[in-house]
Amino acid sequence: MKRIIGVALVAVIAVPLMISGIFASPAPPVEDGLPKGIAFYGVLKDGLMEAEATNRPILFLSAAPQCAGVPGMW
Amino acid sequence: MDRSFLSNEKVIEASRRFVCIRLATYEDDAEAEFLKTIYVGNTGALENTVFVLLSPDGDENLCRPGRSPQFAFRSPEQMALEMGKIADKYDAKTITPSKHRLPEMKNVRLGVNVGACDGIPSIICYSNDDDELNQMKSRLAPLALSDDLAGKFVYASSNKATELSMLKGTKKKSAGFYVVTPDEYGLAGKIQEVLDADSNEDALKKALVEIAENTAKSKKDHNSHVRTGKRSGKSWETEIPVTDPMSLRAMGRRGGRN
Repeated sequence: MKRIIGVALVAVIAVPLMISGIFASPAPPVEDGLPKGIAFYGVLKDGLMEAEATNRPILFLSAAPQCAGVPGMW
Repeated sequence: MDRSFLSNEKVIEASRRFVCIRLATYEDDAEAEFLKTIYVGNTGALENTVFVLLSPDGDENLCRPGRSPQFAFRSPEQMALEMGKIADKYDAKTITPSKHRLPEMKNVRLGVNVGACDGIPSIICYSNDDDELNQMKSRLAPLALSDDLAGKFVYASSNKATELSMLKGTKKKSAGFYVVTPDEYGLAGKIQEVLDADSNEDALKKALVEIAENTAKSKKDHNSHVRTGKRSGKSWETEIPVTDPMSLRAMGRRGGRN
């Protein structure tokens, strides 16, 4: 009997709190500001000249700026 | 392109000791020939993506080449660690800031499209006077490579007003640094701001840092973008024919330009 009363009490208290959003997941933070990234040379000749001048190794990649012919997506 | 590796904080930090080159595949004949010397798939054709670490002269592979960093590294953390070891082997030279080259795309068209791909603004340097344009790029280059601004904008330049016709927002196209928000498909861009062509480095840095702080990266769903783009006839014409077998299947036809 005590258990039933306990469960009912929890339900009476918890349900309105859940409805009011207290148990809801916090809203995701608003992502303001551009994140740090990699500065890429988009022209081979420029990148190779920069690497030679600074004697730095090269992180090299190439990707097509279109997917299935649709631009705006790698 | 494997974003999980290239957007990893440790890889980004390690990249500061490298010169980073990201070409646009199928957008330059000579560059395509260079790419083929690094990696081609089973068919012998140039594929959409290529990845490798190279020596400063570009002649020696410093890791296993492939389509993505995953061909060479188990995880972004391992990649960052190996990049650190590689960088330790080279005695990097410091050069006068104005001697750095601007990390820019080949043309305005690509500058706007790649901005759309990355979900970030493009900065277009424009002047019909070549000397002025070179000076503008010299002032912008060290900022573009700085830790504060690296990877936050995509750059391109032009001395031809006609190249700016894809930019909407102002009729008169005078010399300046055009801050552009690419449209969803990168086929046009909206001019948000024009910074004076004679802005000094401090003024440029202040303006660009402020723009970067007040701009959110645009995010798109890959499948939905491609599906909607196809339905609405958004298409990109590559400079040279696409040869990646998977891409050709996705385009639903054999060979030819996009």
